[in-house]
Amino acid sequence: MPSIVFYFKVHQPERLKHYTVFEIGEDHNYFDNELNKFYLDRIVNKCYLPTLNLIYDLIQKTQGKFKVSFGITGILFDQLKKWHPEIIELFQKLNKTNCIEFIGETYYHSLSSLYSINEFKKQVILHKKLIKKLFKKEPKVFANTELIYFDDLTFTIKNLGFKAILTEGVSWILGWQSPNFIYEDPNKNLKILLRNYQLSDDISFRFSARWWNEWPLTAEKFANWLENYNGNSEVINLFMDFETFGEHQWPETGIFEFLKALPFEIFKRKDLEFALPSEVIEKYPIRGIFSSKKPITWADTERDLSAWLENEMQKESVEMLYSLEKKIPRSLKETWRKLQTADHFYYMCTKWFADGDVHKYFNPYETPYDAYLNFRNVLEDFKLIINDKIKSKKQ
Amino acid sequence: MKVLMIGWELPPFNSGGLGVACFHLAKELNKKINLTFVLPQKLPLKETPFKVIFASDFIKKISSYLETNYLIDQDLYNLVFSYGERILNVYNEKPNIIHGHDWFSAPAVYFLKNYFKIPSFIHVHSTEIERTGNNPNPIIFQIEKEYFSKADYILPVSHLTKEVLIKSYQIPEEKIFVLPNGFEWIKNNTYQPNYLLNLKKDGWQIVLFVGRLTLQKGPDYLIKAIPLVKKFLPKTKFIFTGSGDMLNYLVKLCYELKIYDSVIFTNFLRDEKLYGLYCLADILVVPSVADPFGLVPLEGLNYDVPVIVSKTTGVGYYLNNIMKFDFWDIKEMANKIIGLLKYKTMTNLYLLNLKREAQEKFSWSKTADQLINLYSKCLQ
Repeated sequence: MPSIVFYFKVHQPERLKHYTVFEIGEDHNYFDNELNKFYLDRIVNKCYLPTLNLIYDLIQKTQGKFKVSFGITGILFDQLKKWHPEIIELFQKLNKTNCIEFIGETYYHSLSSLYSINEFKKQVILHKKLIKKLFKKEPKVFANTELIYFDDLTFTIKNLGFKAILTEGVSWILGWQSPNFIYEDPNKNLKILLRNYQLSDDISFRFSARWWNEWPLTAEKFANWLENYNGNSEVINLFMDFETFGEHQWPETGIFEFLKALPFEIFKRKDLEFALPSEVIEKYPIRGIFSSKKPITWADTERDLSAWLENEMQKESVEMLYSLEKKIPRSLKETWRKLQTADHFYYMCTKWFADGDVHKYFNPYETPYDAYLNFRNVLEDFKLIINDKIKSKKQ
Repeated sequence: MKVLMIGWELPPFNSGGLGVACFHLAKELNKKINLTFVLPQKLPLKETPFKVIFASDFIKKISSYLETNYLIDQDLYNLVFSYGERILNVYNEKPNIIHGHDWFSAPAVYFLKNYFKIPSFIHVHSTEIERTGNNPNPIIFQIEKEYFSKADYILPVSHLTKEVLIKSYQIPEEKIFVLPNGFEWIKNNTYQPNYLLNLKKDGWQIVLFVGRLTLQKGPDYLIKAIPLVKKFLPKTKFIFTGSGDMLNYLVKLCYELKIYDSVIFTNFLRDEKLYGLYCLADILVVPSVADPFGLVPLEGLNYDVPVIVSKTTGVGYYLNNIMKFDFWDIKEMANKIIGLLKYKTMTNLYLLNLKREAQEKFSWSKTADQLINLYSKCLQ
């Protein structure tokens, strides 16, 4: 009886304001509240509000048999608290159904796991505390930023109290093996849930693609595909950005009707159910080892870090930022962490021509060089104020 | 396929990009079709890679038509309106297609189209509206409006010009086909003056402007950005290459802003002297108020200088990688200049990717192929 596991990544960065060299030393507020509120208003209305309400309805109508998990970043919660507290309340209402699960994340959607394990731990703990405070629950399953995974990280994540991690079912690592089982890492620290990229992308990527020979995708058709896995699968992991609903796929595409109908189509078929990550890792045995020494992600066709850390601008600015770690005074820590959000480096990506369309999404910059210039100017100011603080402390 | 192409100038007797564009286009076309290029009067051209004929003996020096925005004298007027008839004196086989460039060939195109009863193309490198910052010489504007609409096909070099043709000239959109210029990616000999080489050795950086010193090219906006740049990077020199009716004003502006030490006006330079400046420059700035296409950015890239352009520079439309600014946004222009002079990691990557993209997108053989396709379609 295969279990269907939904994981929705819910995240919006705090974008920087237009920050020229002339602001260096003059203006220490880096974030564009107006722009961030503008994007948030839009995403709340187009996606969060209608989709969360729909999920609540589906849970009610299925007597709790419809289940989904969320990975919500702290940096998004901060913005929701400021501008859309009703969305937090909606999550709290959903939480009471016990049909949703909160997945552990880095608070700032950062790449810290690659640069500072110390900082990584702090951000995971910060996020854990936030979830506990808001929902009185402790995440047991972890998903790193962009589903970054590498073997050496599992020990740290285990020690932070997690039992399992979500990552990409990279086909060239799996080989002949199927992503539709529970795996574990070579050191047996964590259980691993692998994203079924084919079925996930059918919804998040291809749903409205008219070039696709399966277009239009109906709930009935999708449920039939899932049914075909019966007997050769235990868990089917559908991981995607929450913005899939209403934003990446507009309402006109029929995405909401699809979601609305899906649970009932699933229940029409024998031996299919929805389950939460923490349930399936108890329910099914470990069927194999999944290992990657190099970091993998769920991004692009390369499933690697190249969207964030390929070119020299990206590498240089990330390294510069993390090199400040030891110097950061307490009062500037939050700013430093907000600058770590992976999106800032994503905007500097120069692989435009192949994956360009996706990368341009919600991108406030015209070119990756504009993104770097803006970030670098901010960083120059940030270094100045750090040094000022250190100096004034010494005196 | 026999094409009669009506031009106005060819290098080295050219006042700007038009002659260069005509030369390369004709050269590539001539490899694939039978082309005759005609000039209005005899010029001592050396050997050309395509057939050139002259409509008459030398009459008048006309190379400065672009600079005298408000002067169209009787001689020039006569030259334009007698052009078609004079062509018939030296050319009488019937071509399949007639193709002219800009307004001064437009009456001749119309005359010959009617004479031979063949399809006509007018290639628009820039419009009077764009050349004058929406302050057109009424005679030229009228000629453009009347004779452009009489042609069968209009070929602007950019989408910006296409929009102007639709809005200000009421040319029906279905007659318009955008044909971007190509570019010849070959490095020529350069001359690099010692004075500038020594400055660079002493750690000075060079910001370069290349273009006519006229309203359309926006040199004054770059001058206004200089104090902002100097504040951050005092060891920066600004070189303005080109001549034009704005020179006196610009000199005065430099004096008022107290930056005359930082600015060098070289006058109009061509060939190795110009190429040498591209080589020495650390950044090329194109602040055009309106530039239908703009070959200067590509010339700069050819000599490996990073270039930024205003949003109203046509070539920017085609290049995803290029950094742009609003020509009036002096602060942002300065921000980008400083950024590119300061953050070399970005500058190197920028140049690499931008040049690669430009080389992929702009080649004259590609432009010629597109044009031949159009010719064939209209002859079907």
